[in-house]
Formats: sequence, structure tokens, C-alpha cells
Amino acid sequence: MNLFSEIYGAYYRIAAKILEERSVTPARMNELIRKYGFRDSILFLPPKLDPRSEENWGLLQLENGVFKAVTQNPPPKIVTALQKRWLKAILIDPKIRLFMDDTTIARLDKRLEDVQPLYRSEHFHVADRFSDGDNYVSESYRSVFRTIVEAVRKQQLIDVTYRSRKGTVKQIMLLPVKIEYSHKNDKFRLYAVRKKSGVLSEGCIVNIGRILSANNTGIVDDTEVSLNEIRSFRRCDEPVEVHITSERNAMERFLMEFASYEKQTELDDDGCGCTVRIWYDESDEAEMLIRLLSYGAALEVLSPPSMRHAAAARVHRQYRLLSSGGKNFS
Amino acid sequence: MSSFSELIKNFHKTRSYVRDFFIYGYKVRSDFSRKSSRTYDDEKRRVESWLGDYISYSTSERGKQTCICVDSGHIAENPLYNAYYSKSFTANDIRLHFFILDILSDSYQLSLKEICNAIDQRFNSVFDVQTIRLKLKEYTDEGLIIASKSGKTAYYQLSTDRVMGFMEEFEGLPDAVRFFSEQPNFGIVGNSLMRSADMSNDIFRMKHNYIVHTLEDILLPDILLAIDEKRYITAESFGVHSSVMHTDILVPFQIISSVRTGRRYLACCDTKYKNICTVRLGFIKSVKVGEVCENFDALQRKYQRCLKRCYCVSMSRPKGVQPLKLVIRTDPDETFIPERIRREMRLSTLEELGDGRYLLTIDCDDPNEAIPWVKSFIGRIESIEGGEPIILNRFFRDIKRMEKMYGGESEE
Repeated sequence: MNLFSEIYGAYYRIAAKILEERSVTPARMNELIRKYGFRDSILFLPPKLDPRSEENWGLLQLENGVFKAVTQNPPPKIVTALQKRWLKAILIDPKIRLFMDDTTIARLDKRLEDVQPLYRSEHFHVADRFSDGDNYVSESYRSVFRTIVEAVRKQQLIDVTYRSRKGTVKQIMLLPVKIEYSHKNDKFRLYAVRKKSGVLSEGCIVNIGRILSANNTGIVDDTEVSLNEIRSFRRCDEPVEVHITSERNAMERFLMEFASYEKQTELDDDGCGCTVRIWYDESDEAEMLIRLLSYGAALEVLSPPSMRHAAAARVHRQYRLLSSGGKNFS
Repeated sequence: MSSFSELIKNFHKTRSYVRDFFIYGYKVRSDFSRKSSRTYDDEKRRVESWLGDYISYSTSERGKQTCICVDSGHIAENPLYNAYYSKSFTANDIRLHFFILDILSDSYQLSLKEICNAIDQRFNSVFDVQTIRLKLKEYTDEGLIIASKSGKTAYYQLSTDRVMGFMEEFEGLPDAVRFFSEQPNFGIVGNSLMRSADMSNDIFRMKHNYIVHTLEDILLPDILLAIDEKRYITAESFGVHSSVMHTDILVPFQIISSVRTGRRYLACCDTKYKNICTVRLGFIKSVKVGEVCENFDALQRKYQRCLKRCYCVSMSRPKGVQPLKLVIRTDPDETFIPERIRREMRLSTLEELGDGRYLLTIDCDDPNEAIPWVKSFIGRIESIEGGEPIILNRFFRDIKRMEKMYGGESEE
């Protein structure tokens, strides 16, 4: 059993697609290569499949200008031992109950009774996840979650009642678009578009943990809404630009921590520091600022001015606090 | 062009290039001094081919920089999975793959001899019997084929577990696969299942997701096997600042990850220094499973004791270390601050002192690990004491340097 095996590879998958269609024109073959292959596969794969080529693998034969499969059956898509072990492992995760009911889980578990899980929860330890993650055990949470998943899939409007940050209960009509999970917060959030007076209006983000009830109206709204449309007005106008020095390995730590962001990096001429520009969602601005400050003097916020001023204000306040009474500061 | 291939034999070499393009983004050709410039060109071209949409270029005075530029919260599927879908193979491998599956699709079960004959007749292709035997053995291990014996003869049949059958039979499974395929730790396996079922992830997005971890997953099967069988491993690693390789014999216990810093570690016992420690998974090149470790249970108990007092990954306790005590000041309308502290703190207590002041006590083995989090409260720390003198002095020095950096009061 191997994670890195050609049986899962792009080339095997393309060959299987072609054999599944039984016969393809050269144009259709190229279309499948472009769709399922890497960017340059179209340069390398056609001679391996084209029966007129000397390098061909012998999977197709030429008949009346089309390429016919030499095989007699569509290639079977089998759940491999590795995939079964993975399925067995995810059955142990409490979040599986967001997707499947207990009876279905028990049936799948029975089907995989001779299979060893690929991993167990005790193999892994997350050191610093926030402690107020969503309550996946709650039956009402699961019910809300499943309603939302189904509505996202079917593009159906849902009638949602939720408790706002200020504690007030509100009711809104939403067209759900995507569900976001944060590994750090261990929470799900719903990206949706609000429907007001029968018209799709502004995009919004709702913590699923705050939703008290969600009812699927069954009304399909197939308006094309992309996640980027909801996010576009939230993406920062200007990236935050910072300079990081290499002291105490800050540069490597920073680039690793912010690896999940869209960014541009430039190393200083002396190699002892770098300038990084990071694009982030505006709603994450406060989080971004405190994460940057956590690098202390190894990092300087350069721009935009608003972010630099916010960092400076906090630093000055800190300096004053310690100067006016902090032990051992002077 | 003839010698270049999109496919690779050695995952570890490519893994290191992808990692550098993704994490650093500022490296230029001359920074990749480990191998020849032709190797660099080939690896770069491969990465461009796998991840075309996510590659960006910029020019600095040092040269042209190649960067894998992606916000992991905005993508449906981890593009780095493509590295796993690029394993090279021979013409015979792919021929036999489809020929064997085709022959067995028509029959309940066949012997090796029958399979050889059928391949010869149907495809007019003759393969060495031993080659077919080895392929059947490989596919039995992979679960594609089930082998059984009748007398002295081995018979082979296709596994009846089909991807679409699973997806249809178990309600909710397709969405579960969509979600878990983007989770850390073996998400690649779920993605392979999703692709096999012609599915895509059109529902979920992942925030704070360190997609680069998938490249380290290649090491996990051996590490987890060694943990389960209580064995040593031999790990070949390079340092953070150096490409010089070193080999260590370790007793592995657990994989520790930080969802805030994006780092993932192997918690283990280093047999050379006989101490419990953590090793960055990203710096381990390869792992070999070794002999059974006789005192595994005792070492693991020691590790569990260390873990209870470990703030993140540091397993050592400096001499004379004291609990770190901070007084945090908040304004009356800032109830979200104590809420945030309670949500994020570990090995800590929070005590309300009145007037919006809170005493935060962090009692762990190495308070230095808590300092980056402490600094995220800059602007609110009325006092800080305890820990170690070196930690406090560095903190105070940092605040003074930052005050200068931001131009004193003039910049507020």
C-alpha cells in the first residue's frame, strides 16, 4: 500500500477515461488529456496513446480514423485497500456525524470490519487549537449543518434563525454558497447571499454554531454566485507589507505561519531579512494585526498606513504601560 | 525535451523543491545549489506543469523568483496533491494494469496461467509469467485484486468494492469525502477517492489550512507503523539553516501540529541523547522502520508526562523556571479580550482583578514558547514577571526596540 503509486496517477486516470469511452477521435483524446492532465501533459501523453505512434502503450487501436480501446470492458473503479483504510479512519472522527447518521456509519463500519484504520486520533496531537470549537455532538447542530449542506448542493434558499454576536435573535433568508471550516477555530462558517424582498442582496458570513434553526424552503435559486463575489468586497484593498529579520529564525517562522495566505516575498540583498506583501480578508484585519505583533521587534509593519498606525498605537501604549510601573522595564 | 518527463520516480527530491517554492517564494535559481541547474530547471518546469494556475514570478535584483502563490482558504482542492499523481511507470506497467483488470472483469476468478493465456489471446501480447505474478501480488496488496488458493493453485479475482457503489450505498459519504479530503493528515487519499468517483469539492473551503503538510504525509505510513509496532525509526533529516543531512535513530510517539504556526513535528525519543524531543516533519527527508524498541512503553509514559506540561512542542524545562504572570488591562467595553484569552490559553489560569484588569498565569515547562502569544496582547500588558530572566529581558528589549521602530509617540 503506497500513497505515491501510479495507480492513482494522472496518466492512469486519463487512460482509464479514454478506455471507458470505448472509442475516441484524436480531438476527443486531446480534450480528455487537457481536462484531466497537467498543464503540459498534452505535449507528452498523445504519443503514448496514439496507436500510430511508435512509442504508444498499445491501449488503443486505429479503426476508421478513430481510436478504439483494445480492452473489452470499461476499467473498473475499485476502492483500494488504502482508500478503505482512510474511510475507516474518518469514521472515528466526531465530524463524520455531520454527514452520516448513526445507522449508515454502523453499516459502513461493518462493511470495513476487516480493515485497519489508516490512522487513529491518538497518533496526532494538535497543540494549540482554540477551545470553543463547534459542538459537533449536538443533534440540533448536526441537523442545521445537514440542512445547509443539502441547500448548498441543490442551490436552495434557507430560512435561518440565528443569534447575533450581541445576543439578539434574527431571522433571514439566505442562498448558501459555500461552507468554510477553520482548523484553528475548529468552527464552520456559512458563506451566503442574503435575500431581501425577493432580491439577492449583500453577501454575508454566518457562524454555523450561532444558527438556531435552518429550514430548507425547497426554492431553487440558480443565480451564479461565486465565493469570490462574496469575498471581493472583503478582500483588503492594499496588501499589508512587512519587513522581517532573520533573528531567532523569525523569517522562517513567519513564512511558514503565513504560508496559507496569498503573498509576495523579496529577500534583502544581505539575505538577513525579507519584505513580504500579504493579501487578506478585511474581516481578518484584527487577527492579522495581533499575529504580526506576535513577532515583536523582528517584524516591522511598513504599510498600509492604517495598519502601521494601528501597530504603532499598540506599541506606544505598551511602552507607556510598562514605563509607568512595569517591574524591571527601565 | 526528450529527456524531460512530467512524471517523477523520487518524491523526496521534488518535495523539497515544491516546499521551497511554496513557503519561501523569494528563492532564485542560484539558491538551489543542492543539485545541478538542469535539475532545478526540470523540477521548476514540473511544478509549473502541475500547478500552472498557482505559479507566479517576480524579478528581484537577485534574479527571477518562482513562487507557488495561493490562499488556501480560497481553493476547492489542495493543488499540491498533484505531486502525488505524478509517479512514473513503464509501458509494461500501464499495459498490464488495464489488461489484467479487463481480463478479470469477464471472469469470476482465474489462475496465473489462465490470466497469461487470456492476455496473450485477447491482446496478442506476451509477458513474462514472473512479471504478471509480481503485478498480481502488487495489486493484491493494493486491494484491487483478491487472491485465494484452491489446492496448490492461486486464483485471482477483482475486488467487488466499487467506488460508485460505496458512494451510492452510504448516504452522506460523498459530502464526507469532499470535506475530509481537504483535512490535514492523508487528505490526499480522500482526494484520490473523489477523483476516482468523478467528484469535485464544490461545497467546502478550508481556512488556516497548511496545504504544504500534504508533502510530509509521505512519511506518515512508516512513522505510524513504527508507533503501532513500538519500533525504532531511522530518520534522515536536514537542518533549518543547512542542507547537510544527518541520520538519527528515534523512537516515535506522536505527530504534533500547531494550527497557529503551521509547523508539524514528530514527537520522539532521540536514542543518541536519550531525551524526549520534537523534530520538524518538514525537515525529515526519509524514514526507515527498524527493530522493536524493548522499553517503548516506559519511554512513551515519559513522553505523556512531558506533554502534560508542554506549551507547544518544547519538551525540556529550563532550570529555575517560574510560572509566567501577566496583568492584562482592558477597557470596560472590551469583554471580548478575556473571552479571547479563555479561548486561546493553555496550561494557564485567568483571574479577574477588577477595573478591567486580569491576571494571566501560564504554568508550563518552557514559557518561552508562550511569548509569541503573549506579544499578541501588546498594548494591554500592564506587567509581566516570572518565567525566566532571559525571557523577560528579551521581552522588555523587544518593546523598547519596537517603540523606536515605530518612531515613538510621533507616529501614533
